Amino acid sequence: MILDQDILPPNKPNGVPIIGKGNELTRQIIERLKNMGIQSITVAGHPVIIPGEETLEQALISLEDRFAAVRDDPYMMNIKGLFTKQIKQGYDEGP
Amino acid sequence: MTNPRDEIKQLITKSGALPALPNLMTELTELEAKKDTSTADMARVISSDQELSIKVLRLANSPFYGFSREISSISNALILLGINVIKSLILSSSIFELMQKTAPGLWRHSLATAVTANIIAKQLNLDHIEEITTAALLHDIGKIIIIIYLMNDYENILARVNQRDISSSNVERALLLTDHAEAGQWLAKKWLLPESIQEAIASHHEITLSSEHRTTTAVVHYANTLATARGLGFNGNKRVTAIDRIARQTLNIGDYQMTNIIEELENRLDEINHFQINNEKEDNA
Repeated sequence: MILDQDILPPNKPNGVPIIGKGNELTRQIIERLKNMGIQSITVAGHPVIIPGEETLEQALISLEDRFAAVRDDPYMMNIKGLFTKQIKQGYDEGP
Repeated sequence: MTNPRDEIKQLITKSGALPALPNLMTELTELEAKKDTSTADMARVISSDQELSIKVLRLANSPFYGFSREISSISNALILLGINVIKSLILSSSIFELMQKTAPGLWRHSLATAVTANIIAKQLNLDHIEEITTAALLHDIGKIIIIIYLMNDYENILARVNQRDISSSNVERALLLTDHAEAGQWLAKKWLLPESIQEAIASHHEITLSSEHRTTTAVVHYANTLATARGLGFNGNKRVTAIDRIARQTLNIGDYQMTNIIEELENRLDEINHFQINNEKEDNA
């Protein structure tokens, strides 16, 4: 897994990053971050489906359903298109 | 014989029905009225309640305000967020706790709406970004009153909304002769929240009802819709309704700006998912 955002020291948002964006996460690095009390990080793409989490297909069906009442509104459909693009990118599917 | 609307109004105005307000509010209000009060005086009063100070700092450092550096003291929080926002957070902190415990879906929706409003306000270079963000955080505060005190009625409301394409506001009005926007406004008025926040709470579904603070109200309306559209939390509405024409005209958000807003919202989803007003580990220690 590749880091998608710098990891900053806990409680020091202006500090020097512990590990920079673009670095690969190894087991040792993950252990070190845990020991430093870091609870969440951002990785590139969508490398792991967490149990209970929606798949890309489910996420797009849910999005479609939420916009069901505004299908005739071009402005809202444009917004739906932007969300679709972002969701796909999150799952590494591209636009 | 009373009707549901009167009953809900009475619940808000009756003492003891809602969580007690922090004792320091009276002292803070008195200080605010004095001309020679300094930020340090205000900070001293707030800091005297350690538990409350921790909650206020946690909210000030939350993802919805999006400050790049940590706010480590009440004095800093007062300078960066202003007394209006800090007072609103102090007044609302107990309601937020209740919301997090009893209606986690609504809490997550409120957080997501606040983050989205913050992103929109920054993207449009608006003034009073922190007040707009706070208005968004509080926009559905009337729902928690309905949820807590009329639990059975609210379950009916959700059942009706999910069966048909009716907004939760319409069902609330049909069942209770009022809705969460009006209930929220009563509470905001009782707490003497800033006018802009009162107006946004009251008018976030009907922009034409807003007057002095139409921009704030329009941002909250947009943010509420975008958070629902992305499926962040649950506000009682499974489906999105169209963004109001007046709100579109008021903010005039271009394609490029909307793309940036949605991209930034996607980047901040993790922060929304992980924020809690109470740190369970610390609180149980």
